[in-house]
Amino acid sequence: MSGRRPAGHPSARAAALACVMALASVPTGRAADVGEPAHAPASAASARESRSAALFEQMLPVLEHPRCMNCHTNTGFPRQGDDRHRHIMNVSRGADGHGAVGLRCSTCHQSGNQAASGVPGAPDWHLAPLSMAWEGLTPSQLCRVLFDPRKGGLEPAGLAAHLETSFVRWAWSPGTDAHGRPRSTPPISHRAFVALARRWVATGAVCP
Amino acid sequence: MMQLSVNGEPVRIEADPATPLLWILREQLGLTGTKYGCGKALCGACTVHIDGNAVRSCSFPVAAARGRQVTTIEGLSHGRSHPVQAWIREQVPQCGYCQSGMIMAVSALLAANRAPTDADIDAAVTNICRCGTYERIRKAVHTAAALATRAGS
Amino acid sequence: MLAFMLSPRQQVGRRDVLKWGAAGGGLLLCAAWLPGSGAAQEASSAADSSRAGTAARAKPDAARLVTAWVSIAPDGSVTLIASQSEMGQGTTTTLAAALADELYLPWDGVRIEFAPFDPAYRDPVYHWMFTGNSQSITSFYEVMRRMGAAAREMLISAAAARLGVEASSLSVATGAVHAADGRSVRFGEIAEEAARLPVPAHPPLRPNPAFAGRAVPRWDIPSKVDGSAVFGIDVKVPGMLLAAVRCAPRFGARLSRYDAAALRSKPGVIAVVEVPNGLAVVARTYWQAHQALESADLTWSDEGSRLGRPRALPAIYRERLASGPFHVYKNTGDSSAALQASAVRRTAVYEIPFQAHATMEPMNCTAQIAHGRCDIWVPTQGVEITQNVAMQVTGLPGERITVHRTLIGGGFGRRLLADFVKQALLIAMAVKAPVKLIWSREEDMTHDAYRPAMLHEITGAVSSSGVLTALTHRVVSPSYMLYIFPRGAFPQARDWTQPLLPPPQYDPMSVEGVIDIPYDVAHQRVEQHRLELDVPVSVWRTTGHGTNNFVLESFIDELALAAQLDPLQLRRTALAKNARALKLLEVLAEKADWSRPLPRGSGRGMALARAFGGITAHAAEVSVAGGEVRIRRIVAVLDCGRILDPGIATSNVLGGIVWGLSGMKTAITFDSGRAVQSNFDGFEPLHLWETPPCEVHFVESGAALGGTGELGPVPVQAAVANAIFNASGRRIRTLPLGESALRLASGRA
Repeated sequence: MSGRRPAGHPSARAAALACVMALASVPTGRAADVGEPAHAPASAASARESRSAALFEQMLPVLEHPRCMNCHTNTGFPRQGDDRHRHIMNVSRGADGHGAVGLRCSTCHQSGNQAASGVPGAPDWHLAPLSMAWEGLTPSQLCRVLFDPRKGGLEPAGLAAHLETSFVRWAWSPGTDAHGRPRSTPPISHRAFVALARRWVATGAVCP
Repeated sequence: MMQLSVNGEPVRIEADPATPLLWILREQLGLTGTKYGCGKALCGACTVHIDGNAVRSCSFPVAAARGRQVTTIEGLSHGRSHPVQAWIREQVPQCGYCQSGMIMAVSALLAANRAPTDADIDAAVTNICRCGTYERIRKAVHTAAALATRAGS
Repeated sequence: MLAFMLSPRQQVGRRDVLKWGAAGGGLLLCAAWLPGSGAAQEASSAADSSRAGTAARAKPDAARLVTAWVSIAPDGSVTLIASQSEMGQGTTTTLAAALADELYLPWDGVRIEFAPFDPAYRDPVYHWMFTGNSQSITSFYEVMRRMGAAAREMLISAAAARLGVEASSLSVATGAVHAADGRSVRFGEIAEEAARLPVPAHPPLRPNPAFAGRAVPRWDIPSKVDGSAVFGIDVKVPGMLLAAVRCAPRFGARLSRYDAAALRSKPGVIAVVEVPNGLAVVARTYWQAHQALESADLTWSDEGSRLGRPRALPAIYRERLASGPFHVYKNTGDSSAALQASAVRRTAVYEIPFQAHATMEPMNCTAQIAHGRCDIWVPTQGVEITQNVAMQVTGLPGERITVHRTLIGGGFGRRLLADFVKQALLIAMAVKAPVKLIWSREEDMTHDAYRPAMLHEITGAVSSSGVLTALTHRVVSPSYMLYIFPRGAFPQARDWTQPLLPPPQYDPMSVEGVIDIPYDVAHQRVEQHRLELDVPVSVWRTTGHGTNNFVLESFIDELALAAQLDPLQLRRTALAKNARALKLLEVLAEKADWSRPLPRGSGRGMALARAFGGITAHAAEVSVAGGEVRIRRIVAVLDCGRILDPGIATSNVLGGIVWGLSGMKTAITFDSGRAVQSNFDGFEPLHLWETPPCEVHFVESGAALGGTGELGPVPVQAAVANAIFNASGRRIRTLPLGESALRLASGRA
């Protein structure tokens, strides 16, 4: 996914990220963990962290949905369909995620879905870079990738804005395929997803 | 009313803006070199260039071509492009129906990669040829690259 | 080669072809037609056709038909009036070169025009004007030479009269006839006089043809690379409207309800026309017609659903294999006894699916009926069927109908049929304007006449001395001939687009490739149950040879394994009496480095075929890992007697190999009476990156000429399947490869 532009003063950003990373690195327990030694201050913090991490887990079904995961691959090619098969016609990632030389994504994918041909589209259609691959990651790993500055990660404050960009919004209006069948959308609405994301960030963006 | 440039000439198009560029080219403009093969961007027979980039025109609404430069196979052949020369030299086509799209795809490849390897060709040339002229296509791509190099272009 | 017998009155010898050419040269091109309605094959003698037709509409500057095949204009340009269609197989180039040779012209000295229907252009073997069965060269090469030589002699005679010298003192060069004293007359100057002369029956052929055996650049290639080539779908007729059509999605279903008013109100729509089992929308542009139809709510009746459950067709086939009845095509020796007595005997059942033609140019036809005439512009292999369907649909006599052939964007047998022609005619008649009908890819793929699926039980035996002693075949398949058997043999047939079942003895296509094998096998039995299905089926490049060779040549390797013999050795022994095929096999073994060891996970396989007048053998090298089959190399050796044009022949073989390999990947399946696959995502032919490096070699044995259009692909599937076995131990008895969880991947990686 493109469009992640770290905004704000570098040092403020670094501070925010450091804060998040610090929180993220605190081992969290699930709310249902009983039998842990009782440390009164830690359990209150871990309860808050658990609730924050649980919010992320509610976001996961969107992130792991084919409409997102098909372009956040860890392979040299995109995927397609709900069965996530390898994109047909030998389509490949290319050096820059915009397709092979001579078969750029834009050869077929335009800035909007094409009902007549069933080709999906959004402005500047291309693959998320390998640094933003989500395929094969555990929820914990995926969570960390989102904000990892080494991977072009967002700052938490920018997450909600990012979720309004055309690629992300596309997942909820992915059009119909070549046989006129509507593509499936993530299991919660875009609005609900954004609300979850805001709450997650507000509660410290804790990773499971 | 939509204005675009086709093969260097300005044209004005009156049509439903969602009409695929393919059918505008073939019917309103009478440029039948660009072919209909599948209508689903699967076969590449409809490949044209838009601002120099390969695009499958069956999946490209004419409205999106407003103000842009469209080149079709007819436009490419002026001055006998290297792929066109190579295609004749290697006697590539059988029925020939896919070849306009094939040549447009290959010329886009060669514009960005002057000496493609076989692997580069595999990744770039996904057009379908039912007559199976692929061996000669591959050879012709190498020939075109060599011709271009010799011509210093 | 397929051979069927028509009644004696319908048989015509080659001599008659020449006479037809003679009988009023100009008459034949412009207007000649046959008396009688319906069956175009009634008039079969030269005398009939000389009476035929109306007078030529000769214009002062018009080209003159020196014979039906050769037209010469006043400016001297020479045109081959080509009987055969051009679909990329290059035969019009080779036939034109033969003509050019006889007239001592350069290879590009002869232009091509496609002949309209006329009995003069009928294939001399099948008495039917068509292009297919890989026989354009075998049927017409000698005709071209004779026609060219005849035209040359007629030009010489005309020049002799003009110059007042003996014909024997004249020579031909550079488009003119030259006298010894330096005078000359150009062809164009004497074409008219030449055209009035009788056509010599046995003109001397040029002893040293310049182009035979040389690669000649194809005349159609320049237009195919610059966008100017006109395929059927590109035809422009003034005032033309565009039509899209949708026919019953299930075989046998009928259109029961649609909202005509709603359709007519769509942008650009002019008319809505019912066609058999479907509906057409006519509009100012194709896209408008297509979009209107896409949005239409069409209701279909329930028939056709009995091809029902996904398992229905395979179950029907298996049931028939078990119960018959069977027509016996061949029964030599005593195969049952031989099998009983053999040390090594095996049996296997092979399953081959339906296939779509999937020509890159979808079916289309442009028709205009006006002022008592009918003109059809169509990419067709079947001129005679088209002409007759036009007569049947319009009610017009043949001389008022002209079939104008365009270049063809892939034929493969599909364009022998005239179902789309009938639709275009009905639509044009309904709207009283010229109409171009285009089938969408989806319409094309779901309304194909498919290559029939086949179930084939094969048994075989090998003696203790390594001799193939018995082979039996029990085939379950529909007839290939339903839509293309020459309809003239069915005088009662009023609608040539309907299927007709010939008697089984005239319908051997489903067993070709096993009824006449190159091997010497003492005990053979071939029988077939001709399945009658609602699925429309027809000929498809390689027809029965393609399916049966896969079975036979795979099974020979199975027998070799069982007998612990090298597959090459088992074949050698079985070819002991066939020197020509043995030589081919040895060339293959050498070119393919048959004995060179391959690394683990790799294997080599071979297959041999006799088909379409020639013989060919392939060797494939593959490596198999996981579910991926990488074809590293294909070596193909062909003996078609002689190769008239090695460039064109090589192109046909290379393309044919891709066709054959495609057939290992693709299949058409049915569910609830409809084809499941409708575009290239579901039916994905071989791609460039899957195409292996191929080497093609020719052996010129000097035997009778065979065709190259379909020979190339025939043994490639078995060669690959045998290689897969040798690489992995997995025997493929079912296609497509996906059924065995295998898929093709790049052989270059």
